[in-house]
Amino acid sequence: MPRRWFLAIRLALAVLEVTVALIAAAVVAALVIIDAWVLALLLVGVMGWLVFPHLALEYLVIPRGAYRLAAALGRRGPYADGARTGWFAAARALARAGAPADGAAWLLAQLPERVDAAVIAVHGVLAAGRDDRAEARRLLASIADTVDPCPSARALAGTWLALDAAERGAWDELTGEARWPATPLTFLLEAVAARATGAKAPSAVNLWLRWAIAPHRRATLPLVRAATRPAPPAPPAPAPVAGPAVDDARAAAVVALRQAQADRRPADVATAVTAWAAIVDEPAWLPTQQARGEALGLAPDQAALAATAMVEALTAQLAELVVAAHAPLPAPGPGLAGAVTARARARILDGVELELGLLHRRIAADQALPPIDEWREFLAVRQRYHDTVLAGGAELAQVAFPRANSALGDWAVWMWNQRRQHVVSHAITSWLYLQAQAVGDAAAVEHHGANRALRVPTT
Amino acid sequence: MILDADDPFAVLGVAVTSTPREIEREAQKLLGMLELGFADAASYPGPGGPRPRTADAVRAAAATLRDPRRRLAAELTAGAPTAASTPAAPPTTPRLAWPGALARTGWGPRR
Repeated sequence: MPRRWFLAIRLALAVLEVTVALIAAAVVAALVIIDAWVLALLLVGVMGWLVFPHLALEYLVIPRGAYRLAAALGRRGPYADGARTGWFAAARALARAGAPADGAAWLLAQLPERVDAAVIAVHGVLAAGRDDRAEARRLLASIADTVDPCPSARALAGTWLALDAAERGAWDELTGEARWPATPLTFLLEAVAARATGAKAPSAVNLWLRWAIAPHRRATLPLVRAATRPAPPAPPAPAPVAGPAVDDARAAAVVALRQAQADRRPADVATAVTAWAAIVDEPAWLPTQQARGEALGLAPDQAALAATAMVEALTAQLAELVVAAHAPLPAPGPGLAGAVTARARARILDGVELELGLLHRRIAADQALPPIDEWREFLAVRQRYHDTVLAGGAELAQVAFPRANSALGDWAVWMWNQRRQHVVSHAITSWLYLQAQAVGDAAAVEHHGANRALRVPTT
Repeated sequence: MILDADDPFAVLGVAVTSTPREIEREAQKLLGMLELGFADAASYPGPGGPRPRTADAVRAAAATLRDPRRRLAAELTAGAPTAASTPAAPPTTPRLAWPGALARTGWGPRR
């Protein structure tokens, strides 16, 4: 459905639904008046079953956690997308009931062996039911990385992610057209997000129309009211509180290190590295520390060792922070920053080598995980690569890519040829293709480009 | 680790330039005050605000400062302003959010 017509078409459908409901109600009333109770009940049943199953699902079956009935109703509704709609309705009903193990097992037994967008969506909704929000977010967001178009799975994932973002007030995740294909609910939340973030926001009339076509109007009413209310004037900025003067560079460096340890933000870690490098790289610093060590009673050689050990400990602590905060590596070179870079780089590459080595050995030994766990492992490997290697900078990516290419390339081939998990394999290949482009590996670009162009069988 | 949570100079309330004799005297004084339950001795200004001062922490700080190598490292990070004394971030306008959005629309577990 074209985006520009979404509101008009949905409004027309809503008017049609109301009209049909009114006519049906009038006919039922007429049948009751003429004492044709059986016919009246039959008509109510037919309307409920054939014309409004989505209403029954949304407001009766799913809220009560009746997952088997939800599966049956979802599968048979007029807007059903094959068996998938039934799985999604059952997954939502199970999530509502806290994802009981027996119900989840029943639903998972219905799913095909091959991982696709629908299977990932069901696992994501069940994770949400277990209150594992991070896992649900990870799985549902990953549907966008699959080649499987499955609009119903994408719409389901988009709705859950939009509601999750709304709950956290993370409106910036909802701006733009990231959630297309839209549902009436995500279409409404997009407009609220645009008003909350000050992006190109629709008018209040448009917002109220979106509210009118969306489900759960009573629940969304306070949100829409808040979004249409004019923003209160910003409170005057408080006068800056003068902190105690930081008397010297050393004290500033300690504060920076403390700050970096506390919040682990890349920018704070970079500040701490720069601050300590400015102190330790001073030519007079090491002799001063040695002299101080001697003044404290150490022999000259022990004082020299103690001073060097301090630099070593500082390097280790800063490198640890660089890795943990996913901070960009400082430029290689002499001095403390260079030593921190070398140590952090070695740690990251050791971690990559270890993880990819384990993966390689598992594939070589033909040790298969359940298909959805293969997908989870791909998401985890990719996330760690982004957090460590790509956060470290382009040079680190150049060094790490050949190893990733070898292990993940074999994984993709194994998933395609042996496991017949084409969607997983295609996602791995597509990611390798992008990484190969980023590091300028022409052979890998050509190889993965050819593989990602293969037709992926989807259900 | 170069930066520990407990700055031994702050725990003992002594200056970085204190002599070993001054450090020992202050440690003994604090241990005596803690044993007698003096409220003044029960806390010291640490990173992030006042921290409880215990007899074990006093003994550990004194042991650190007795060892010249460990004292050298402690001097490197001693006496910096505490995080609590740094200016607080200005208050931000509360963000519009929709608490319980998933549960209220039938997409999350019942609350």
